[in-house]
Amino acid sequence: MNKKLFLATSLVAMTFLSSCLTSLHNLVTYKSVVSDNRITGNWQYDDMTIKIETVPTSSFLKKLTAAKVNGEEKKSAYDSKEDSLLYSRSYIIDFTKNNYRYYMACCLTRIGDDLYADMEPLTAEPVNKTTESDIDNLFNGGSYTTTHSIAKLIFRGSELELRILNGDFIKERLNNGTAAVRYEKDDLFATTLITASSGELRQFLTKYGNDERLYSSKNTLTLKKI
Amino acid sequence: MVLNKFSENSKGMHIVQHVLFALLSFFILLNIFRTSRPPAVVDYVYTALFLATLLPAIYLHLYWLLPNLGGKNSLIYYVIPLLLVTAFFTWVNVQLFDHWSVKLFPGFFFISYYKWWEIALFFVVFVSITTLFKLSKSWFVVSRLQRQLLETEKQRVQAELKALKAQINPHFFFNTLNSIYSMSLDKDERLPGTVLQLSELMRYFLYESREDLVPLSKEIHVLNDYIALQKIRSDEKLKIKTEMEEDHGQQKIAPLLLIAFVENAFKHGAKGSTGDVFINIKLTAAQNTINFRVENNKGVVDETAKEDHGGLGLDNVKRRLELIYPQKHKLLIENNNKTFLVQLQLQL
Repeated sequence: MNKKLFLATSLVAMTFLSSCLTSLHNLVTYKSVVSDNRITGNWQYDDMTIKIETVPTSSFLKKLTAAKVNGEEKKSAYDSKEDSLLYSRSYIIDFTKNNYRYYMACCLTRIGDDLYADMEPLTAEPVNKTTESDIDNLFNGGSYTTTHSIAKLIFRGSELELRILNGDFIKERLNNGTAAVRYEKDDLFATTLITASSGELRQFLTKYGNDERLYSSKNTLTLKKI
Repeated sequence: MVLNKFSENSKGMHIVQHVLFALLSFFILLNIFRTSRPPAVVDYVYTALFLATLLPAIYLHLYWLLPNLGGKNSLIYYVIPLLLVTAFFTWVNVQLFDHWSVKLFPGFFFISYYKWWEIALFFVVFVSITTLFKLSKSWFVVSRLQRQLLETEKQRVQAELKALKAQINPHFFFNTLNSIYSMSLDKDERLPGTVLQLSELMRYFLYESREDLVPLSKEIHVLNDYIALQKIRSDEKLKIKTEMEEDHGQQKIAPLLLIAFVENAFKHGAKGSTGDVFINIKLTAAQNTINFRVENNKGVVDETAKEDHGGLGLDNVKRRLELIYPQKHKLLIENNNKTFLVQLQLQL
C-alpha cells in the first residue's frame, strides 16, 4: 500500500472526521444502487458549503468528459457497463477546503428501511490554479486505490444527518477479537482497512446497521440545506 | 476397573469417541472459519455456533435415519427425512447467524460467511463423512462378530466331533470284547495275541485319535489290526478280501473314519449271516484323494440282521464327514437285498 493510497484512504478523514471506517470495497454495487434526490442541492456544514449533484448532471462529469474529448479519448467516462449503471444513479459531492476542491462519488443503497451512502474520493485539485498544467491533482501520477467510507443517511426536515461508521469502535473490536470482518492492518501507518466484500459489508449492515454502538456523535455530520 | 470403563465397546469409550469427533470437527471448522492467525475469540464463538447446528443434524442422521437406509421404503423413511433435517438445520444456522446471535451474543460482531446452499453443503459433507465412519465401524463390528461366530461354530463342531468319537469307541469295544469273550470261552490259543492287538487298538482309540488328523498309513495299519481281530472271531464261511495301499507319504485323515464302515460291514454282514459271506475292502489313493470301498453280502439274513444298515455307527460317520470334510467328500451307499456297498471318495 503506497502513500497515494493512504492519501485517498484518509481523504474523508482529512476533510471531515478522523475516525471513520475505510473499506477497500464499495458497499453499493450497480445491482443495489438506489436514487434519492433529496440528497441533491447545496448543504452547509460548519463554514463549508457542500454541493451534491447527480452524476449525469454534475459539473465534474462535464469536465471529465471534456477532458477526454480534448485528449482525443472519445471513450466512455465510465470504466465498464456496471460502472455506468452504478454511477449514472449516483451523486457527486463537491466541496472546497484548505484551498483544495474535493470531488467524491456518493452511491446510495437501502438496507431494510435505512438509507446508506458509500462515499469514494474522486479527485482533489487546488482552487487557485493558473493553467491546466499547474493542476496539482492529489491523485495525479502513481497508482492508487480509492477506499470507501460508509454512512447512514437520515433526513430530518431541512437537515441531513450523515452517521458515518465509527472506525475506532470497529478497530477496537477487531483488535480484541470480538468482531469478525475481513480486514488488513498496517502497523506502519496505524491504519485498518476493511477488506470485506460488498456482499459481506451489506450483510454486516443488515445485521448490525441499527446497533447504536457503530455510530457516535463525533462521527455524525449534520448538514443544513441552503 | 478404570480400564474396563474404557474397553472397546464400553459406554465410556463411546463417549470418548464422540467427544474426540466433536473436538476434531471443531478444530477443522475453526481453521476454515478463522479470520486471523491465531484465531480470534470471535472465531471460536463462530465455530462453536456452527457446530451447534451441525451436530444435531449429524446425530439425527446417524441414529434415527441411517438405520432406515436399505429398508423397503428408504425413500420415505430415509431420503425425505434426511432432506428435511438438512433443510431445517440449514435454516436454523442461517437464522442463528443472521438474527438470533445479535441478542445471544451482543458482545460479538460477526456475519455468516456462507450462503444457505453453502451451509447445506457443509451438512452434506459432514453427514457423508460420518456415515462412512459409521459404516466402516459397523464393518469392523460385523467382521469381529463373524470371527466370533466362526470360532463358536468351530468349538461347537469340535465338541460334536468329540461326542461322536465317544460314541464310536464303546460301539467298537463292545463288539470286540464280545469276540474276545467268545475266544476265552473256547480257550483259544490266539487269545494273548488278540488281546495285544486290542491293546494297540485301544492306545490308538484312546490317545492318538484325540488328534484332529492322523497319518493315513496309521489309520490303515489300525484298520488291518481291526480286520485281523474280526477274522479271529469269524468262521471260515467269511471271506475277507482287502486291497489297501500302505504307503501314503505324509497324507493325513480324520481318525476312526474308515474303521466305522468296516465295523458296519462286520456287524451287519458277517455277524448277521448264516450262509457264505464276503467282505471286500479296497483302498486306493491318488494325489490328496482316497477312494474307499467296502462291500459285503447279506447272505441268509437272520433276525439280528434285520436291523437297518444305517444304524448309529453310519449316522455318526456321515455327520463327521459333513463336519470335517464339507464339500470334500462323496459318500455313496447302495443297500439292496443281497449286498451292502459303501463307496467313499475323500479329498484330504
